[in-house]
Amino acid sequence: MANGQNNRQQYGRKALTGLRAIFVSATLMGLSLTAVHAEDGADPTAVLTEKYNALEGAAYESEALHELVDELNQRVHEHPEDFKAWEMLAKIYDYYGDYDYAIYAASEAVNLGYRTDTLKRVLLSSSVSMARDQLQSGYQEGIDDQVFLKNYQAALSSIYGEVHTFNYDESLPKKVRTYRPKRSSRQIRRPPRVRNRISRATTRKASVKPSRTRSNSQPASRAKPVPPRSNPFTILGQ
Amino acid sequence: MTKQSIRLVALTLLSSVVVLTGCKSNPKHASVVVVPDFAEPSLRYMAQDTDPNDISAEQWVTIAQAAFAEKQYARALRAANEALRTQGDIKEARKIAMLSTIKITQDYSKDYHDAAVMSVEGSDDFKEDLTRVTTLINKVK
Repeated sequence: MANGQNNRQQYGRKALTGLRAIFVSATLMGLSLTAVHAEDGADPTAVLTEKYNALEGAAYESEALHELVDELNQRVHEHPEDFKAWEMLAKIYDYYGDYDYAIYAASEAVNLGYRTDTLKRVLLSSSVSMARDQLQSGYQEGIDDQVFLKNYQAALSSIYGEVHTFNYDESLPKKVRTYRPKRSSRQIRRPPRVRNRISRATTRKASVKPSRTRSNSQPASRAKPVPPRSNPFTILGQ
Repeated sequence: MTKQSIRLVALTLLSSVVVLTGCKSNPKHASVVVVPDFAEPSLRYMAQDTDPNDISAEQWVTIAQAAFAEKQYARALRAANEALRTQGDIKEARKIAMLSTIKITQDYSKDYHDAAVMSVEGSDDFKEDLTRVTTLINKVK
């Protein structure tokens, strides 16, 4: 009897130990799988942000930096709605002087509705640097389009107005206005003159100019007729 | 001059010659590290079946003109630059690129005085660039 009970107890212990072993191994397996596939479950943007933070200020030659740019571009190609990835790209391009790409990436993020301070800064500083580079490399050469130049200068004046806080419209030359004194109310409200119909008709008739007709006859001499001269001394003799 | 001092001078000269020889760079063995440019940002906004490499310069100019008309200045700039990359010199592309760029600056110039956007250093650089732009554009007759 006692032997049977011992056997059962031993059997139970063995089973318990086996179960424990299975549980421990399963837990270990689960942990290892979680560790291995940690990146799979993580937010890809968060992973990219972590990489970006680690590489901030890295040398342009850094392979890891180029890999990050590739990964970010892959990300925005597959998920163009990921504004964070666009923003990181914009910051990288801006920092390393790829201004046209920086403008493009920042603008794509803004188009998604995210007008952050960082994006505004990138757009403002990159665009003015780009404008400078364009002019320094001779983009304006051979362009004599006056409409284009006028539009460019108008935009530039507007920027100056914002930067130096003045109304740029007021700085532009305007037409010189001559001063004209206003008419007094008395002059305006002059009572109508009552005229005699007959006198008006007479005036009108008198004012009618004769029509110009070319006559074939010789024009009469305008010289006044000279009276015959009399001897002024004859009076003395009388 | 003693023998010892002569030996010392000779040794110094010899060592300097050795050092100088070592410093002389051999152009045959000089390795020039060519750093590739960053990858271009995705042109996802364009049609899916369009391969950017198949687009001609003229087509890029048309895309740039359309984007400019829609006030999508960044896309217009990108397309104009693509046209210039594809074909060396296109006056129309240069004009679109220039106007788009200055329009972007104009659009965001309202934020210039926002301290959260522009640092003091950044604003100084901005003013400097702006002056340079003005000087260069005023030279155009």
